[in-house]
Amino acid sequence: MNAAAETAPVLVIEDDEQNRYLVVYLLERHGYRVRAASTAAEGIRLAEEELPSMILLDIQLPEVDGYAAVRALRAIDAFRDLPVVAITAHALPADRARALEAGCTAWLRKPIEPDSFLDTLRELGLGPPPEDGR
Amino acid sequence: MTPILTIVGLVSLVALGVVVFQLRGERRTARARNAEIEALERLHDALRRVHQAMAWSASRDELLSRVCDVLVERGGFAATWIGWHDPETRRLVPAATAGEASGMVEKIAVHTDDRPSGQGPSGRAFRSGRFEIVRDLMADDRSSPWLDEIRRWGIVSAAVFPLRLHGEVCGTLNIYAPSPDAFGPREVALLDEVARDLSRAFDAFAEREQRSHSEVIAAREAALVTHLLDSVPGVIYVYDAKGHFLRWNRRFTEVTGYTDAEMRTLHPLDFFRGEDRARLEARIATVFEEGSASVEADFVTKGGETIPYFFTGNRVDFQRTTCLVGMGIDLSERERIEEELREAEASDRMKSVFLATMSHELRTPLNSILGFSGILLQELPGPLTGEQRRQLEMVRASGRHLLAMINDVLDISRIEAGGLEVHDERFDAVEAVRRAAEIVRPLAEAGDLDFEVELPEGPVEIRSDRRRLEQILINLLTNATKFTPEGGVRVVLDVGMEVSPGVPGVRIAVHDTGIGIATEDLPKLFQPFRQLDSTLTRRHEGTGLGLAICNRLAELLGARIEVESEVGEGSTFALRIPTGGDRVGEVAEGEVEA
Repeated sequence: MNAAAETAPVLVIEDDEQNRYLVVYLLERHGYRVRAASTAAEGIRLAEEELPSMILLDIQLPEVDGYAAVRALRAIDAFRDLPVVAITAHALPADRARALEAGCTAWLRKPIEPDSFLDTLRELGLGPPPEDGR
Repeated sequence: MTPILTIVGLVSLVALGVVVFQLRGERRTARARNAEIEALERLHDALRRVHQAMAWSASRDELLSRVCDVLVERGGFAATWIGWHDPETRRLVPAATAGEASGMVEKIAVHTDDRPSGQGPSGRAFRSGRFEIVRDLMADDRSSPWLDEIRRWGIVSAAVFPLRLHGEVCGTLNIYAPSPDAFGPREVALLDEVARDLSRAFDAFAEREQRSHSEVIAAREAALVTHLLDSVPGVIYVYDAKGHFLRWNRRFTEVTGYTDAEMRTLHPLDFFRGEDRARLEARIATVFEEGSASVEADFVTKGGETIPYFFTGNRVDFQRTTCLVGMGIDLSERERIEEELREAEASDRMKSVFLATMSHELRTPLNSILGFSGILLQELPGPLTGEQRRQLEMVRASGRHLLAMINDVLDISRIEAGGLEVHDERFDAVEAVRRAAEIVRPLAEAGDLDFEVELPEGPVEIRSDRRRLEQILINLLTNATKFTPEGGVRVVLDVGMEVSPGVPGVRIAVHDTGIGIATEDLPKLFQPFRQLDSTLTRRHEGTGLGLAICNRLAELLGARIEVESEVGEGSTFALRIPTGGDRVGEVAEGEVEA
């Protein structure tokens, strides 16, 4: 319990239930603690509560979209340098530029590649899973 | 002619009166008087006929020849000729002749300057501007150059009268008689009148000629102006400050539907309604006050139709009134084109939005399909049976195929919309070919195919877009591998080739020993969604967009793809790409922008 409490979770903000389940499942199966939200507002609230080590952010979200969400997060001192990875079906080069401009650390397009997904996230700054994560 | 004739007639009658008066005072014998009266009657008759000739002659030359004829036939003279002065040769050129002795005229040359042939009565009369009478030519020293002719034709006396055009002597009337007394004062007075009348006739002819020439020019100008006005693809009109139309072109009545008669009753503002009227009124006032103005307004036709027009007006002085000369251009065509452009732009935007949306909406479920099939195949949830693995791999392959389709459709749409960025960089073409070949090699080896790469020794630097070149090569190599059941694939780079005449480039050829392409199928090859043999589609997975994308990319790079193929023997797809030297590079960049 102590170890889990000390380990910062990965926060997944994704409104599509299946896609959220997919990412959460992959991370959890690889030993990570994961918190998930389906709206930007809920995600930001969770981020402030949980201080995650990384945020995986969908762009097309209801009400407040991912661009606005990352701008809101960057406005909070604690999240200024937090890795925020956009994972989106908006797959055009212009979409990538827009996401990076809004403040995302990186931009991955859907569909994700499950075989290499974790390696990619680690390259982007995801730490190793907690020892007793499983 | 008529007033001139009247003057001529009056003058002649006065002259005749003088002669008659003199006759009465001289108290001759009855016989002599009879002869003289007869001679005078003859002359009078001749004079009358000269005047007739003046009335009836259509041209100057006709008049001259009639006058000569009358003087010989009615006046009883031996010969008459009229000489017209040629300023260049200074010769009196015969313009008309009459009488038996006129054969002489052709033999003699008479000049107007003071050379010997200018010393006779004709030359003297020309220079002095007064008539010249010679009673006996044989005794006249100055007529010696023509002595032979005078003798031969039996001529005794001569009378020469100067002829004038606009007051300047321009020729002579030359009359010869067989007797020394033929030119008494009475005869001379009458003949002098004939010469004066002829001079007046010349002026009248010249004036008429001048006038008819001007009239021809004016008529020609008027016709040209009408043609110009009528062939202008706009309406043209002239109206005065009161709004009376003075002139309009045919287009004006064609467009408005009014007749010419109706136009004369209409006011310029009758062609507008609503708010346009007030605006037009203000602009018309501006034209008359400041000189020019323009306005866009709806032109209202007789039938009540409205047509968008652009009018410009200029103030001019025409027929001693200040007028507005205006021109109107139909804007409906321009507005239609603008509307079409707006629609085309809107449709382009819609297409882009549609494509982006489609891409997004398809990727979201694909994320689940590829994600969960991948997770299951990783056996993260638990071990799989062989059959489960085989079927899941089919799900994943189909999902990947769908994804490739989505990416290709997006690619080709972006190329066609001109949204694809092309880089201009220097790189080693050999390295690019090698990289593309190494990506495809495993696929060829998996299919038990020979895979050969023939490259020059050193690097071959070209200027183009490396990534796009590699994309084309990977596509060509993958195609070659896919459509070659046995044998091999060979890629060859040749330097020192031409893309088109004068454009140096390299040629990268991909040869295969595959199924080949029928000649009639070659034209379809680069069209989207055309895998040639549909039965092959299942065996040879592909989106059917690969070659279409390659071809469009090649165009962007200023390159082109050549195909040679024989069914059952194999195919060669060769890319000719510019090396992009200083000059050629500019050309290639220009094409890329296009």
